[in-house]
Amino acid sequence: MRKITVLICALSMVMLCSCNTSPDTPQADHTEAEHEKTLFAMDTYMSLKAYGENGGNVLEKAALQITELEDMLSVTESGSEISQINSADTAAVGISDDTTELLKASLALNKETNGAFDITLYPVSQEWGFTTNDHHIPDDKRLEELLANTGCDKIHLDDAVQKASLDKNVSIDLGGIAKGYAGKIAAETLKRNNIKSALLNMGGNVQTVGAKPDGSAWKVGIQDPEDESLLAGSVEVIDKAVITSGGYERFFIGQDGKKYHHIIDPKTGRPAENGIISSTVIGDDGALCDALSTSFYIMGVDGASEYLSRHHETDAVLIGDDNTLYITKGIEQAFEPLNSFTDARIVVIGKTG
Amino acid sequence: MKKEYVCAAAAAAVIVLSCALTAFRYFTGGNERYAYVYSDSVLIKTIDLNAVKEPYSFLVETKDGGSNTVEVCHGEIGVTHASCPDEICINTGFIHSSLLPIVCLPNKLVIEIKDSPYESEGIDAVAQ
Repeated sequence: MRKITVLICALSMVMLCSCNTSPDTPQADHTEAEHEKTLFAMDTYMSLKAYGENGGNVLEKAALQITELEDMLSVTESGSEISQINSADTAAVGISDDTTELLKASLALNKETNGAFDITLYPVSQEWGFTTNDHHIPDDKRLEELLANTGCDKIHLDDAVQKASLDKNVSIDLGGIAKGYAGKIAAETLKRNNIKSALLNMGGNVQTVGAKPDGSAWKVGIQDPEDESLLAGSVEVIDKAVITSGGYERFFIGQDGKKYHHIIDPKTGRPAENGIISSTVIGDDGALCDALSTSFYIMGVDGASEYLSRHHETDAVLIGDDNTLYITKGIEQAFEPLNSFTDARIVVIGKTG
Repeated sequence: MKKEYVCAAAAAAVIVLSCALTAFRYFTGGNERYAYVYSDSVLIKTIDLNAVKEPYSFLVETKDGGSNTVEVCHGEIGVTHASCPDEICINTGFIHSSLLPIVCLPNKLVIEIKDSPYESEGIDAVAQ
């Protein structure tokens, strides 16, 4: 009887202790302190979380870097390097290491994506009113005029001396890559300062550092493009960026009753319509993921699949306009469809072997 | 012998109580569903959404003359009117979990819900 009593007492202690622990609460390393820093930067709201000692100070450093990058890369701030390049007519402008790196990466990606990633489309976006919220549908003639002054062949970068210039009437905007780059730079700063675990949510661009404090993978949801309150799926990642683009982010309804979104196809100057309604890219380099998420949306499934078959280090989850899920082999095990996508057709793209 | 019976009965009662408490927490998701309202990064209101019996609304005004009307209901919160041109905060609709915050960039208004992890299906962040 004594043994039974001891057993029941031990069991009851275990039960009591487990009472306040949810199934999702990490069981190990509960002592890691969570630090959070929020800021408005790069035209979005960012929430940066880091775990462990000194996390608060390091987050302050990372946040400062992000605002410095914003000052340097913004297309609307008159003192930024991008504004200086845009207003210099055709003269060469001296630029920083960061701007040089981003311009170099943008030009390379323009080639890699067959022109889908194009940083010279700013005047076209302006014409549609996506930069001012004064939306209207431009006519074909106006779009033709504007497209004549776009194309990355009109950007001249001398990375050896860190100078850039543009052809006449050309403007650039790094909005399609800057947030991902800022996440990458912030993550590098955290790692250099011995932060092993962090979650940087740059307004929907997610950059993870290491694993969660308990050693498990981060679970990042992918928004349902047709219902903002739901998720289409989730991916489990460690030390990766997860970046999604979709026409649902910014759009307007035209006088013709049609929906016009902000992802412009460089070939037509119009919102891209190539069968994809959401494009998520997962990889080590946040800048690359940011640029590719927009590019895949423009390239469509075939173009994205062709790129991914050549670049095995990058993974993607694309949602087709018929709700088919296109995923890469590398993310197959880590991806879980949710809600209305639980029974969706799943097609593996990129390298299938 | 009698003392041991009393101990065993007490321990058994603790087990039953613990099970009941765990089950209650699991099925109700706990009572923690707080909405945090920030204006220009300053926390201006904390609201226990589960304690709201009658819906009500309040106005958040910025120094520049901008404003958002925030409506609070049992278990959810949303923006119903805003001076901003894009009205993304209104279009976000009413939120009831920590998955997505309501953000009004022009007026620097952020509304976040911090709740128990049961409701978020273990999701740490949302790519959007």
